[in-house]
Amino acid sequence: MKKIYMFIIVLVVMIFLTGCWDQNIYEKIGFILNTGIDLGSDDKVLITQSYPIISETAGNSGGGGPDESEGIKVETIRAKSNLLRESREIFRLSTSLKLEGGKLQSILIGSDFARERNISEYFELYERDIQSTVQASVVVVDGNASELITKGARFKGKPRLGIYINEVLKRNFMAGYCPDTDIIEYDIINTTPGISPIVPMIKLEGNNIKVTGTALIDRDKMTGQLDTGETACLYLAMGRTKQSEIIFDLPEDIQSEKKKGAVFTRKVITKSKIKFQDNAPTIHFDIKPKVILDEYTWGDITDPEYQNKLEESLNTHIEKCLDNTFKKLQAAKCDAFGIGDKIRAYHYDYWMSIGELDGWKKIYVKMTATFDVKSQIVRYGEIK
Amino acid sequence: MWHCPMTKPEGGVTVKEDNVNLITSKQAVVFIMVTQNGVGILYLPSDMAGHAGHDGWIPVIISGVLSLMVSLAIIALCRRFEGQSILDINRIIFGKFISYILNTIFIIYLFLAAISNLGVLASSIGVWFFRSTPLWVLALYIMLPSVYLASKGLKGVCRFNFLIVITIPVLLSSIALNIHNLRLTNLLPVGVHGIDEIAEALPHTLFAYMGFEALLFLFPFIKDKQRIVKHVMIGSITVTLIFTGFVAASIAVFGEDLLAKRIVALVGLARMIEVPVFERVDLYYFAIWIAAMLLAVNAYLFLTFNTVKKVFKIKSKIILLAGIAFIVLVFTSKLSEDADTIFQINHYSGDALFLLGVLYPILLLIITLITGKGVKKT
Repeated sequence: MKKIYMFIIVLVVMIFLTGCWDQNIYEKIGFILNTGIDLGSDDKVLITQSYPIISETAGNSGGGGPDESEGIKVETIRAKSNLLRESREIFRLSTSLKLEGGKLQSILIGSDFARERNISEYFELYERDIQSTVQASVVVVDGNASELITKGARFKGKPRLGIYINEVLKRNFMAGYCPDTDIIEYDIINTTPGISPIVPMIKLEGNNIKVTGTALIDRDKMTGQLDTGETACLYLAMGRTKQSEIIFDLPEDIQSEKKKGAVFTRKVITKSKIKFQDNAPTIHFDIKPKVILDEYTWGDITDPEYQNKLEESLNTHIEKCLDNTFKKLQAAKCDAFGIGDKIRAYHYDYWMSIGELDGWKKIYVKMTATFDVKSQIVRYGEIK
Repeated sequence: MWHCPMTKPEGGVTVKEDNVNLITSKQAVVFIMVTQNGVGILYLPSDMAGHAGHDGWIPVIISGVLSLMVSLAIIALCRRFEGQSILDINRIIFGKFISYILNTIFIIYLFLAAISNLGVLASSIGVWFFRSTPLWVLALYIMLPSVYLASKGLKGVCRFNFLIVITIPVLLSSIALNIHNLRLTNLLPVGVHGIDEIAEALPHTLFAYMGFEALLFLFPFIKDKQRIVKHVMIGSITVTLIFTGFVAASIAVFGEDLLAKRIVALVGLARMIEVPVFERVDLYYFAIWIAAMLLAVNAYLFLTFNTVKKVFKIKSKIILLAGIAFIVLVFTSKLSEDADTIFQINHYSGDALFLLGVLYPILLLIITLITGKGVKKT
């Protein structure tokens, strides 16, 4: 009998445990999918956010009015403010929905903003607020983020903007044409001395979004950029296997109308070694990619001498690309390889003697890097 | 052979009579482990990164070894007095009046421990899930099962501790699923922060290891006392390895600068986990960790209840439990409204643990060894 009373008491208590003060009605929540940050006038920033409208009645609440595409309603709102939180409060004035950042897909940063302001200062809200996600992608927009979000909300025949951008980034990250950096990863690398973050760059082109490569960051500001080919080379040197397509010049003695060859990277093994010459560090990379020859008219590839020629040509191409990429990284003071981090960890006395990070930045821009690429063409598929 | 004056334990209840409180040495060690794992570990990585930088894992190892040594000293002390608790030992050594004061100090400590553990749990639930719900409402609902368990005796509390088989793997999985985010250079070079900084960080690890002092109160209830040393050693080494691994992994993932700015490393690690199909895996982690923290609240609420009952000889279980719950609830609600106050309470608890759980038993052991008090079995 006692147990029955207990059971009844527990049941009664459970009736009142339906979320207490924090009940959330799905239709009354605005799930922010994209946030755009641009430079605004009067030293303010222009914050743009888009969220899908789930209920018809909730969508009529005001703001910029819903944009319709393929039956999906997406509302875009903008506000000029000093803080991200301030902009959220401004948005609250014009929408009846409770805006939540838990489903945020990407933070799009206008290139002007990325060059002039400290990027991570605007991520603090997502880091602090546990109901927001820290896995949203950080993306630099070549141009204006607000324009991209506004026009992107009206794209015909495309998935919802947040999903569309993520899919495009994911595919290109797999191919090694852009990095995949989220909020927390950016913050971690940004606060680690001797390593710099890199973030993907995209551009609005008509009814499309195009990945243009990598934005290089130094001390929280964008200081340079790499194109997609250079990004693919960067990943090779980092030893991270991507499925990149590398186009290279065919050797002169090879008879082909195309003049160019294409390889598809399959696996890469990279070893890097830091050496000191006259108290100055140098770094050497040994890169061994295994590649598949792609779009090649049947020829003498089974002949080892012929294969060597192709491999030599490919090696030269990648080495040149890497030389060029490293110079761009140095010009941008972006230590994407984390050479400074390794020097701090393994040569701490030297790190302290040069004045830690400040001293390292001066040395990094002048240091020598050498790349030795030994590619190997492997055969795959139906054709010899 | 030395003899101690055989007194009936305070509260008029002999160990044999109190069957609902009899546990095995394994259960006692798990009781200690859940107390240590639930709450203390949450703040440990950030605290260590703030005090000893990337060498923060070194003081954790040292403290683990020290906590094991103190645990063994506590066992040695209790064994000298035929397995009685600190409350009875105080009475034997200092007499009725002084022991009354000393035991009251222990009660205040247990209240502080219960309040700090409940405060962390309630405010964590508040921050993670229910922002608008008043803290006292959350604390009230958290306490209901703990009060119920305390009323059912130590055996009931210990049986509930089986949840450790879920919580420890969950903690370890937060590291395993972030293995690709570990940057070993964040832990190098080893020892660069020097002995001074590492020594300075040691007292800050105490709150995390809080729980081993429970042996002072649990000892009379352990059935197989001859096996307690072995199990305490296994438990202490396991906890030390888990704590060290967790702190080292947190430093390797976040780096010392970012980690020092975070409050709870487990939250940070959980938020970084990405798995196919499931979105926001972090929320599942938080939900499971609430159970882990609840075990620590259960433990201290039981110890408080049992100690007050013994010292003040209160017969009515319901009145006593309601009174303790009310006091804990009021203080938790008042003191846990902002993170800084909770930190402060945790530090006070750590300081109190150092005095009552580390220094005091060692001092007593030395006194009894010198004066020859207690029973030395031939």
